[in-house]
Amino acid sequence: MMMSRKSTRKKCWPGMGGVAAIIGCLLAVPMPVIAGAPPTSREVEDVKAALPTADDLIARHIEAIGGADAIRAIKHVTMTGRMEVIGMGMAGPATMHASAPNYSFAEIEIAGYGKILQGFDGTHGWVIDPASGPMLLEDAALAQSERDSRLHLVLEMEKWYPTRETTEATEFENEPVYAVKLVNKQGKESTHYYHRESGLQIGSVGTTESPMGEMRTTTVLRDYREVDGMKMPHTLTTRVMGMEQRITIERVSTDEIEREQYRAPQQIQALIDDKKAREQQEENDES
Amino acid sequence: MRLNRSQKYVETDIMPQMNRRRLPWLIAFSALFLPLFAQAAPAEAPDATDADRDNGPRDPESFQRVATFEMAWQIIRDTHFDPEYNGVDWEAAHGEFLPRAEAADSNEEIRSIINQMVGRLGQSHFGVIERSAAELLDAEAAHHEADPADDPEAESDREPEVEAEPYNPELAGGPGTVGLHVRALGNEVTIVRVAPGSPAARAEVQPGWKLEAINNRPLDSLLEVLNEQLDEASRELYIWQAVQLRLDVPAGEVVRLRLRDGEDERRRIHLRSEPMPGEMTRLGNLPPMNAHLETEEMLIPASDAGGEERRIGVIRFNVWMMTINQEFAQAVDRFRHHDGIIIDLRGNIGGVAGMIMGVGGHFVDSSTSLGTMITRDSRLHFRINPRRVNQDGEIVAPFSGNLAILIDRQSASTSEMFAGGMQAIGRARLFGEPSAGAALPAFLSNLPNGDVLMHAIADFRDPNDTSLEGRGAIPDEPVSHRREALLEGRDEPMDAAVRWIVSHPRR
Repeated sequence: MMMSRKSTRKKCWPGMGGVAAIIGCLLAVPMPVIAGAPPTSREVEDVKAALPTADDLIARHIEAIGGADAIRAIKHVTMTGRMEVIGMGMAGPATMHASAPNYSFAEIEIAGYGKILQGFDGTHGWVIDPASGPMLLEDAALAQSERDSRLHLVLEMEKWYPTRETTEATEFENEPVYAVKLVNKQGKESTHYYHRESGLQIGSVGTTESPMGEMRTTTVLRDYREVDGMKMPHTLTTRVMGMEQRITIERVSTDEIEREQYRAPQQIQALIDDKKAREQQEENDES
Repeated sequence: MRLNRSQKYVETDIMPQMNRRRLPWLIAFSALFLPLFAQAAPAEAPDATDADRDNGPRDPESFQRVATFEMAWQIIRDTHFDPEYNGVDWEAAHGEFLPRAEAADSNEEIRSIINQMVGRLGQSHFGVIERSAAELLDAEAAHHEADPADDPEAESDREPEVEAEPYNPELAGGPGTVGLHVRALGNEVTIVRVAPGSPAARAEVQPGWKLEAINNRPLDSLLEVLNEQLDEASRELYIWQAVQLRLDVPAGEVVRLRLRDGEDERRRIHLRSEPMPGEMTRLGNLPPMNAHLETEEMLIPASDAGGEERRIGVIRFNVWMMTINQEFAQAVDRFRHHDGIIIDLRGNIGGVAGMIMGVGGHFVDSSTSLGTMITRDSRLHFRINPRRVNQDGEIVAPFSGNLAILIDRQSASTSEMFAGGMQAIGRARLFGEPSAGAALPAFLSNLPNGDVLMHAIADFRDPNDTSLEGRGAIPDEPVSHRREALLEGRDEPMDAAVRWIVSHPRR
């Protein structure tokens, strides 16, 4: 005898690794994610040959959100909304800023947890998480932060994802989609899903880089709305290890953002200066 | 060795407000990265029509017993961190035990069947706790007036040697404490610490006294039930929880104690609870918790320290919640140039696991992993973030002096993950007793018959790839409280840590 059981236990996952991706996703640029192994059978290859190419799907997505000119016309974006950890009673305000070419700053505050800050100032990626403290991002996490902070990444896919391949026509979140495998410059794979009818990217599956390692992630993009000639998703749902968090955008502005907005907080700036001093010292020691 | 302890900051004791579910909650969420929480909620009753369709109608009690079995099996099937179930064919186990469950005539029998089934896993943190035992852990019970007939000494309790202090409405309401820390030593509950300035201290209660009854309720019956229901590893933790929650009544209420002093004389003392120090904090659906950090500075005179005065900082906190982060950083700043720091995690039952990366970073200058959490599809590394900048934005070096960590059977979850991890990377020396061995994220789920299923949902391994589950962090220097030493005013685990720091020059 088997009985159905609906669990009410949930877990949550606010924190680093998600914030940069949030900006990217809500601006309809791809998240860095990793997909499974590619199909290898001849039959599958034949089917793939009949599929739209990855570049065609990306181009269709660009058109669906307003076209390349509309995207380029937007130099700054500020989004304000709310982050919620589903079923956990955890929620708080979220504010995200992004400017071309690659500046980002995000702030999420959760009662009882504190304020999570994350940014990329064109060179340095950083995060201040109340649990782990201020931290400069390095290696894969830094590369991800840099990529996700590019406001017009969707127009630069060739550069950031040297390999792009449509793998199948399938379903994602019960919607008909084309799956596109992307391989970034670090060799990491990701799968993005483009709606077969609308052309919009509606999600991705893979793993997100974090200082703790790779976290397998599913991201769902919904509620596209037009803002200054460009469609942007207003709901981002991320699932990690059975946990689900949702960011709902309530307001979007494309007003100019002062560069000062992206200046790293004092603690981060001190770490940057210290890192430079250490590197200089190492150079001196070597010479 | 003469210790000159100059008390700093708040010098009152810490007693976490707990209820029956709080400990499991802490254990559950603390082993996860950042705040991963278990929202303990009653498991849904199984669908009766499904059961009837498969097996025909039953009487309600029989149906409930089978439903209890099914739910326990299914919960583990869905949440066990190892998809291979530690080598057990879980489907086959269902087929083997179901007929016995269907034939069971009592809750006791179904409990035994479930425990046999989960016993196949060969892992701790899996088992059924009887409803009556679970009820004994319920915080509400602590507030109920006991029947004086429960305690043959109750009559004389009405004339205590020390009366409760007058009621002060300004100090009433909210979480409270009388300032007592207790531990189960053998088959007795002993006071191991009296918070300076607390109601207990004013009543001149001393460490080393035995606690025999609370509010006319003798503790021996409680100990008897818990001894029968729980395994050895869990027993001390739950005895401590059960007793402590009876002491930590809301501020303004009176706790009536029957004690046995150092001369083995019976003492009857009534204490009025005062507001618990610290900050109430609430994270998501978790119940509010009182988080409190205190520090202490010890000055060891040159005559007792090989010709040179030694300075040692002690940091003690009751739960790993975010609100203690700032105070912890301030404490490290204050002790940064001391000879040693002692982190006292005795009685600290855990909290937000992600904090170990930040707290550990105050003591380590490189990004080292303190352990790995392993679920069915992920491996997450608790990597230390070296704290090279203080809260004022000034560059600092992480503390490089001797680091001692005190643990005991009540140090659970995040506390033992931190202690075990710091020990494994060679950064800290542990003193005290093995920790609770409750480092796994374990949930307690209600079953249809009112029993409670304990079940782990992830594994945690220290940097040596050793699981702390069921084993705990093992002290480098095992030292337990002894009543004789407590009565002499000595904290032997603390003294051992101090001796080690004094005898080892700062690196």
